[in-house]
Amino acid sequence: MAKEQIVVGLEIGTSKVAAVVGDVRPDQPIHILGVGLTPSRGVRKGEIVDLETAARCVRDALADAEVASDVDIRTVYLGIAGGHIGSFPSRGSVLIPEDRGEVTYEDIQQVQEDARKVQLPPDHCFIHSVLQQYYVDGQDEVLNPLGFQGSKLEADFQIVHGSQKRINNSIRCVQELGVQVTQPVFNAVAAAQVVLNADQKNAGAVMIDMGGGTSDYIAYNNGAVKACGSVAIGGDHITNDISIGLRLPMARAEWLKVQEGSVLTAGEPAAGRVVLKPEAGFAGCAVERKLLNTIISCRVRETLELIKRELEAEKALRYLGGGVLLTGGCSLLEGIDELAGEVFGVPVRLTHAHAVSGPASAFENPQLSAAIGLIKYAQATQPESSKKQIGKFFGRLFGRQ
Amino acid sequence: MIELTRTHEGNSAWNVKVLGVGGAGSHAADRLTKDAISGVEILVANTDFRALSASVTQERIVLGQRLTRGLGTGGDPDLGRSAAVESMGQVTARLQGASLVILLVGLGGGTGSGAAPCIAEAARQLGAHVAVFATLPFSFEGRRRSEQAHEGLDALRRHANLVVCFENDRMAAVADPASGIEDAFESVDSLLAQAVRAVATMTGKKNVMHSGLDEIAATVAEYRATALFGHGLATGEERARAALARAFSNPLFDSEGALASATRLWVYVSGGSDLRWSEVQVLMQELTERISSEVRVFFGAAVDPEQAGSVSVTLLAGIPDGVGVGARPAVLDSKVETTVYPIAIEARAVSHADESSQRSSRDREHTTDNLGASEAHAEELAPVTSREQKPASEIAVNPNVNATEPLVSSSAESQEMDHLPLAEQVSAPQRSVPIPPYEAAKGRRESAAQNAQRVEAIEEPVFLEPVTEKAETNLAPTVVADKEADRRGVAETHAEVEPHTQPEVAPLSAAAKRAKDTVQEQMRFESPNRGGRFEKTDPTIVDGEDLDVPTFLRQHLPLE
Repeated sequence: MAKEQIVVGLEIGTSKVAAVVGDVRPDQPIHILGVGLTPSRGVRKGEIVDLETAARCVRDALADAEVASDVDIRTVYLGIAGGHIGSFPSRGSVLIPEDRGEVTYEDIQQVQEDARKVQLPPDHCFIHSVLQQYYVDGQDEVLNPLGFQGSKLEADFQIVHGSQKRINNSIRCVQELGVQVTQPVFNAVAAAQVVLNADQKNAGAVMIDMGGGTSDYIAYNNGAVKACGSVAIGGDHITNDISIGLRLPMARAEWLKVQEGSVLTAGEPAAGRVVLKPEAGFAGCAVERKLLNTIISCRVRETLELIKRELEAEKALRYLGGGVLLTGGCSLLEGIDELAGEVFGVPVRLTHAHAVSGPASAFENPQLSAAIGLIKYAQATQPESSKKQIGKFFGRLFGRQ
Repeated sequence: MIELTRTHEGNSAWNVKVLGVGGAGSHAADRLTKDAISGVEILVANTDFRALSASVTQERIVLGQRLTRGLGTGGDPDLGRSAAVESMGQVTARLQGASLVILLVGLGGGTGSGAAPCIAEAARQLGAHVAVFATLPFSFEGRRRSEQAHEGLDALRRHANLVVCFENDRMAAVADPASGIEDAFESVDSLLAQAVRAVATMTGKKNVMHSGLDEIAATVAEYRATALFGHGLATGEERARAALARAFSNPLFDSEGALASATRLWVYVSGGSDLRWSEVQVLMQELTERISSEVRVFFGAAVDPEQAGSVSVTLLAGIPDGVGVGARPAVLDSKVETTVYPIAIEARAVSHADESSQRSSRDREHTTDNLGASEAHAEELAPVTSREQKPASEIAVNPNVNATEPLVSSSAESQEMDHLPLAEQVSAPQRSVPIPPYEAAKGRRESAAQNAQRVEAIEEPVFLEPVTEKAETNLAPTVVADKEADRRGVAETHAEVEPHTQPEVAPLSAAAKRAKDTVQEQMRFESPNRGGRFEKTDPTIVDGEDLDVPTFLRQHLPLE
């Protein structure tokens, strides 16, 4: 029986802080033990703007998760997002000495280091270098080159990078609570672990996680990450737009968005009005649904078009056999799948975490995709600490799992 | 070593008592109590015992307990007057020792209209200065209340040093027209409280440049004047400019159009110890750009350690009688429409002396006979319902008014000050009673700041409006000078200035032109939506577009 290990995924999001405690066994679905979820404050567009307040929210979420799972949390996998995160492909190559003529583990390690010898934007650091494929003497699509005969090993990596300072801010926020961060993980990379299955990754798929402050996207092609990134636009912007457009306070705009919001500007969903009842300090009003939906839909459409443009620039939309999958809080908006389908020209499905067991309420919530994905990510990279050599190798393959 | 402590003029040795009279007055006083304005004693007086016991203010005076048995006056001012007479001993005992009594009165009811003038008279006899902040009833409250209100107002003017009169109808224009009646009254209360705070705070602060009631009185007293009142508070970069812009930007204050005909302007700037000279300079420079050089400016500045980080600007502009054309709002069927009255000379000539300039437009409907010629001009009225309208342009300025007076005058040299020897009275008690200068004023300022913040917090973003339009407080009351003004016999006027006016085709005076020019300099659309939610974050710029600005705005989608 494989040894179980407890892993905690922590996502400090713009709208909520989510801590998910999972039980991880190699080659088995992860099992969720408990979830801690608190509304987030001090975070804007995926980045921490008020360390103290954010730390308080994180502490509450971790405490809730501890109670729910009866686990003492010491380390977490930290999900990060924000407009500063970017990615680009990079190819590394090493020459294999003639006297050896065979790819060894050291070569594989070295080719990754070689791929990392690239210029990052100032103050940026590597978050991930996700393997796409190996080439041995020009032969492509090599999955595992270990032991291959050849003179030259090359590999394509997708380098994910972000601002060192901002990532450190998030890490510090957690460390101040006496909890160690095992590894910062880009949210889209994490969410893709549980949202996309192997078939979809192989056939080519795009996952968009529209959260509160950012929309993170990742595109797979041939089972490997083709492009990923983060657009600093999310549900917060929709709320802000409603607030400005309809001249409502933020709290009421948020309520309207969540309860009545839709991106459909025609037909029945856009007919009639929503009545906001008067309360103390609020006069009450009636809002035309058509108006509300127009505001929401033009923001969502713009965001999706922006993501589409980014993906097209990376040539990541050529193979979309797996389709486009939407997750995150914004995917709960009525009709967003239709709108996204219109933008991308392919069927779009709403999705949430799969391949997990535990309380259905947890993994069926698209808001928790990234936090649960962190656990799956940990599982994929887990052997790294226990079984050194092979572990590291698998670790770098996580993108294919 | 001998340490010398400077006792600043205008500290809390200047004993201020605020008395809310009647239902509306009590509500406004309650608002001040809730805001924890300190250094000021707050009292409420009412004939209605039940309403009084519901008040959060602890210092309560029951008026006419024997007469009305605590049941209120039933809207009868005579009963209110008798009640005040019955309880006068109690009232004077409570007001004893005050150097400034601020009365908060909602006119129109029995207690406000009847009792308040008696109390004002008694307070004057005690040797206190009396400033009255009064509201005139909403037009929907009926004609009877409006008549009672004006009788009460006339009586108050006879006794008080300063009467600042707010028309509820005007304030309703500031509030959301669709808001409930409760909200409308609430906004009236907070406006009253704001005005009181400005005056009370002024007397309690460490003034680096003195300004006092005498100067306020000078601003409004010379004529039977209409006045505009604006207040703005701002923090952060460019705060001086922002505070000024906020004070100006009230749709009712109507910066340019109204100011063009103002001849006196009282400016009061206060800020924390970090208030810089350069800021004051910038502020005054900006101000002088907006106003005609003939305007006489009273300037006061105060440093308030508790107000660190923010700058507040209070403006009071006096518009003399007979100086030009004003406009007033006509409130018809709850739809705010605005009209321009080109008041001709003959209009004033026929207007009755008892027709006060503060009467709201609804009275105008009832008393059109009195207005004579102005009726004819009503045909030219252009109803306006939008806030985006340009200010009134047809303002003619009498070039002779104050042409020879200095721009800034710091002393009260004009003869109308004779009856208001305030400067002396202000300084006398200070010397004799050294009270820790900051302690008393501390809470008050905090509350002022808190209030401002709270108001800002509940402010809703305004679509297509500049940020500065979201000023915390902007008042546009009419200020009535005291009875001295009456005696000068200046003819009544309807020269009120109102921002909701359509520019009419009319020859512009130099001052008005100047004012119009300065409109151009206002950055009306300066990043209207960058504040608030995404203020602290880096802008998300893609292809030169700031994506934090709502998409529908950038795409110019018609929403209505």
